[in-house]
Amino acid sequence: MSELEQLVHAKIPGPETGIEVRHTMCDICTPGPQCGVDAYIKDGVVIKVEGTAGFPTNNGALCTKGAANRQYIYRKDRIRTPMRRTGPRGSGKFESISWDEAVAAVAMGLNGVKARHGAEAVAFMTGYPKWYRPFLHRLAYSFGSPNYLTESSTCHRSEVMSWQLTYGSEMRPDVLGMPEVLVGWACNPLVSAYPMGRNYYQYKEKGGRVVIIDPRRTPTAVQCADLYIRPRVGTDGYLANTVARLIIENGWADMDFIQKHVHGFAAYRDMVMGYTVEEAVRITGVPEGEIRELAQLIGTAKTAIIQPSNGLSHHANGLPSHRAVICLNALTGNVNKPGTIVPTFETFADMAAGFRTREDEFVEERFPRNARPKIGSARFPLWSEMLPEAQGMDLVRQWEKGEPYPIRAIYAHGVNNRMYLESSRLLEMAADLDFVAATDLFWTDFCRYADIVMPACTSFERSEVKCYGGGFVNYTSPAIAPLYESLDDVEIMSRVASALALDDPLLCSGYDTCVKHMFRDVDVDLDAVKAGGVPLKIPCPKTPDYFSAPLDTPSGKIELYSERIAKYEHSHGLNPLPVFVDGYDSPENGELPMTLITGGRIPNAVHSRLHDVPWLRSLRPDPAADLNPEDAKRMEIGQGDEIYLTTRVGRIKVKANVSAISAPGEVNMYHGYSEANVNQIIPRDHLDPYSGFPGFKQVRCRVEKAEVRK
Amino acid sequence: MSYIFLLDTRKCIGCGACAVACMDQNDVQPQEGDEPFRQCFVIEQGSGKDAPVRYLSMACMHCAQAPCVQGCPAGCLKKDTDTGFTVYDQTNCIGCHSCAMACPFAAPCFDRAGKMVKCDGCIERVRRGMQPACVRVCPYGALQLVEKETFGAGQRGKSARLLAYTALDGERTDSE
Repeated sequence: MSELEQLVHAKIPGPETGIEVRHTMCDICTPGPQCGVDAYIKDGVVIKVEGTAGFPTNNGALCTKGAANRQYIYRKDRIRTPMRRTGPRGSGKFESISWDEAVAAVAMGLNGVKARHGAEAVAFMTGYPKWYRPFLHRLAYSFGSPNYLTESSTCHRSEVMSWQLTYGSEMRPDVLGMPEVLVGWACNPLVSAYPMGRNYYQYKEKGGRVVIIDPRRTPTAVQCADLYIRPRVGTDGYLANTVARLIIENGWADMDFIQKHVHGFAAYRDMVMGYTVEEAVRITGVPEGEIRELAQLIGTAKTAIIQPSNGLSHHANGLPSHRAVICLNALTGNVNKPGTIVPTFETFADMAAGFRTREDEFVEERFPRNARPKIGSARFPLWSEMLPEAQGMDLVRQWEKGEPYPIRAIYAHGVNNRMYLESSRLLEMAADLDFVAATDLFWTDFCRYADIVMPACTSFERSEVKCYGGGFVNYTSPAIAPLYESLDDVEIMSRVASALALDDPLLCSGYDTCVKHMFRDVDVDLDAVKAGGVPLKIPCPKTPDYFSAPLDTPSGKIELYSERIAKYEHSHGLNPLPVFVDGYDSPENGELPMTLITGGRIPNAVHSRLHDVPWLRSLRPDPAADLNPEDAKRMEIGQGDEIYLTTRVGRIKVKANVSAISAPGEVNMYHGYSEANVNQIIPRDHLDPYSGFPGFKQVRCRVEKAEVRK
Repeated sequence: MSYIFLLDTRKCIGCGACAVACMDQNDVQPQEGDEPFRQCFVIEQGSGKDAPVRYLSMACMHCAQAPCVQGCPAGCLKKDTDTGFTVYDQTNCIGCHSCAMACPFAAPCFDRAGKMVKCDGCIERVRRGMQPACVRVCPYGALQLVEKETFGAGQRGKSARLLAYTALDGERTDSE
């Protein structure tokens, strides 16, 4: 090789190789990290990626998923042009059409349903990513439908509800404020949110003490935990309330703090006094010594953080369990001080940056006041009261029953039916509707059921405003031109809004105008940020102290006894106290002796979108369930053997990964695979009555070797 | 300036970001049958909650006395005197796999033409002051490239602690 060939081969940027580095961002996972990416570009094509040095969240690094951005962007099944269905729904038969034809067909389809059944009969749905959510939300409202619903019906919003019910605000852990003890409860940040994982490592390096509580033995448990506690899945509420009792009995509760800032302590105390260590050992499987050690660690530390994760709320008893865990912070006065939990609020597109925008107003000012109640209102009133979106887990039921009114069309961006329990039901629903429009990057199963399919582009191909903690604002420029005929999601929404002839000139005016409208009070020149190409730090206004005014709860205090929940005590059987309730989908059953856990993260996937990225798939080629070596031995199952997982509603075939990741009696399966979709076998009535969230993590099941049963 | 790849097993979680970054850097296509130059492993023993686990990332070790260099009959492999990396020119490779048989770590891979390919330490990047792709991507700084000259007494102490840590965990296994 000549020297130049060697440089080109090694992808060294410079004029001689014609390789240029452009800043962009990764939009594969949640809005948490949204890491800065340096795209190496030659002849308009991305040839390599790496993390942007100095970027607020990732500072040069990337996670497994982000490192695969090149193959993700260039996935073979990218949708190339707008398409119109020519065969039956689900057949995959489509013809290519122009953007004008597509947008006109969408407008005609949606307006037709609106004329026949009312605007509410159209559900505006989205999955990942999240950057366009305020725009889709406004589109739904301007159209006249309150039925904006997202994948957050299954992911993060239940946790937010729990914080707001209890603390009147979302709270974040001030890990680097160096609490004496950090309890990561169902937290696996080393895999699920690596910037937080780096904080865990930094905390440990400075001498911090970590407790991890998780039914799965995660890398975080292995690498960070000084004490690793493994309760049986779904028993966290019992464990937390027992710890609360021990803290109170030993005089470790912070009574001054409670007197000043806490509502409902007496009722809470009476409730937790019903929890015994003996019963806790029986229910949770945690040894008595560990339960007492945990109570002492939390109770006697000068400062402690009890940090829950979304995972805790992904149970049929999720919201009360989550609340039981976070009540421990208030019980010990570990609130609003360095090294405890501190308030936080979302700035823009689900990201907290320390300043406020007019995003909420952008959505709420278009709310259709005369519309019929949004989906899920009757069944999940707490969700409906607290969140300005419909609860998606009630969608299929409303379509089936037509009550309280029919749902006849879906307008979708990035919808993945495999996030829905008994997922095929959503496709059957789509097959029955009067009209379905789907926008996506890739040819998903859901797209095959749409009448009109529209191609979106990735974060590398568009401009986007993003905010980051510490007061950073970024406004990216496209690193490459949109592939094929794709457009960015918001451009598609603007065109659809225009074609629908909505009286919403702002939304029709496009992304840049709308963002500047939402940022009009923020002291930042967005054009200058965009030209600069990297995040700009802006001064954040000082927010008033958390306790300087009554909290945003009915009592104005931290509510161990939730007055908001109390409203639904009689009508819906919700308990204002964070009691432990059984979270299984069905009674004990010898035919289904094991417990299925899903949804916990693995490093190389997020939901379905990365399963077809060859680099990532090569790290774990087969859908595989983690089975404890003891169970595997008993059932004569070896590493890589094919096994069936069976629940009361179905069966899938996967491979066995024999590992102590799972406790004996529990089997853990990652979700989102097309050939082995574990959410297909989770019963769709297995929902948390408080939040409507699916009980992803506690379903009775049977594991058997595939050869045994033909 | 000679270098050493260093893996801090207290920080590695076997996530595979290094393996993916390596595939991106070197255009390795596993779906076409290419072998990855770098791979991660999770090694565990036992079934209890505190049973020992180790996460590892492995590629060419760039041995000082590299058996692959000695094993190659076509003279394709050599030690780079500046960096200490084991580098290659596959022009004359006859695809005999002698290097792979000589290597205790199975580092040499073979491309679709049957010729040897492997980790070259991202030598062109390192020569220009950039980090190898696997090191640059590592979310936890577990994988590092350190200069041999500074890999001295301080590092020796760190390594000793690391070894002790592993040995102590080993004891715990024995007692279970």
